[in-house]
Amino acid sequence: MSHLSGDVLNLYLDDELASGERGAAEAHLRGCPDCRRELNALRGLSARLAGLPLEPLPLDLAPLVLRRIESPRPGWADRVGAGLLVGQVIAVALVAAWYLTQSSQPDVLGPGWFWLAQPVTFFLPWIDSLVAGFAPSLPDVGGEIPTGIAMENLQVGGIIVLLLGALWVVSNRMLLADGRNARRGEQGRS
Amino acid sequence: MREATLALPILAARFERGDPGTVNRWAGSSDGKLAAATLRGSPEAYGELVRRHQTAVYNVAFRLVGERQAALDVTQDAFVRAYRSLQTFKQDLPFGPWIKRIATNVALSWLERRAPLVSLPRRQNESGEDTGEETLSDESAEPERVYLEGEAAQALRGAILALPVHYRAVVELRHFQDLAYDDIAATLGIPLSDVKSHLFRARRMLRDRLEHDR
Repeated sequence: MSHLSGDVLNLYLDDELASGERGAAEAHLRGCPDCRRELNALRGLSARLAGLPLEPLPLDLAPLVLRRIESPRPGWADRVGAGLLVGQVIAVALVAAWYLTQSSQPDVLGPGWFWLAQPVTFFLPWIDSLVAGFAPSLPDVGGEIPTGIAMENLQVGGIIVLLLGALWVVSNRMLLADGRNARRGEQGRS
Repeated sequence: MREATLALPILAARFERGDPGTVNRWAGSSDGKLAAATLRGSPEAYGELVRRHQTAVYNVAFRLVGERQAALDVTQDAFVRAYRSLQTFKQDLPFGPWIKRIATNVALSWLERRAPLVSLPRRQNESGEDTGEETLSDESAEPERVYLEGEAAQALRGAILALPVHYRAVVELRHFQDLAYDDIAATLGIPLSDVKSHLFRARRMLRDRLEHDR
């Protein structure tokens, strides 16, 4: 006497047989104790799995999950904003250093101005050469572009950068306030 | 959502102190309403969803990864991932099956990323052939589990954890989440034929192992 295959028995157990096949399987099971024994073994395993007790959860995860949700990873917009801020700070520092190098009384600033001025005096001609090399058709807005960056333009640029930086700080004041309040809230909780 | 950002640390602190003024105004809401409230900007509604389903999700993770701390991490990751894709959740359906399927995939990703600390030997049959079943060197690494659980439950957990990962996943989805074969295939992204072969073989392995451990 042939028996039902393991596949058919499993499909029968899981109610995944088509109706015609199911009828044939049931008919066979009525007359085959071996297949009934095998099916009962599968049912016993299912019952044992269903009876596996739940592992108790050792702590409430809701506060941890909510904290992670509220502190998401910075998106690209945040990164661009941070990059702009860093760029502004560097630009302001360069402009300030340039002013120091142009001081007619370097002795007033002490010996430290030399170490500040040297990188700047090296850096500015390099920028000048880049601009001259890659943007020869830039309009002459008041100086020697493209043959050289006019100091007047750098001064104007520095002032513009300072104003933009101030505008950014003012426009982002609410975000900074949110960050402070959030940190105060967390400290209060701890 | 920004107002919720500011309010949340205060609310969370009051929950933890058991402030009766804020205790669980979401308790009687359905999962769908909680999801809708979350999408409207109420993270505390999502906190209620987490509390309702965290034990079930933790058990999904624990059955698959077998380690308590890892299961806690997987559970958190699953809820965070669910929050970020909450707009895809059909609010007229129960939240439990949806989050448990997410937890299953998070657990499987965790298992794939984890570098095995020990090369697990494979069980051999009487003929010395490789059965494909991994054996654990110590299935009772946490003594308190022996104390807290019956031996039968412990043996069953060990048998499940000894299955290859892809067999374990199918057993989890069929026997603990009651998914049909088609849904298992869709959840795991495998063909229907693989679901059947994995499940049937896994059952065979479980029976053999539980017989062997008697």
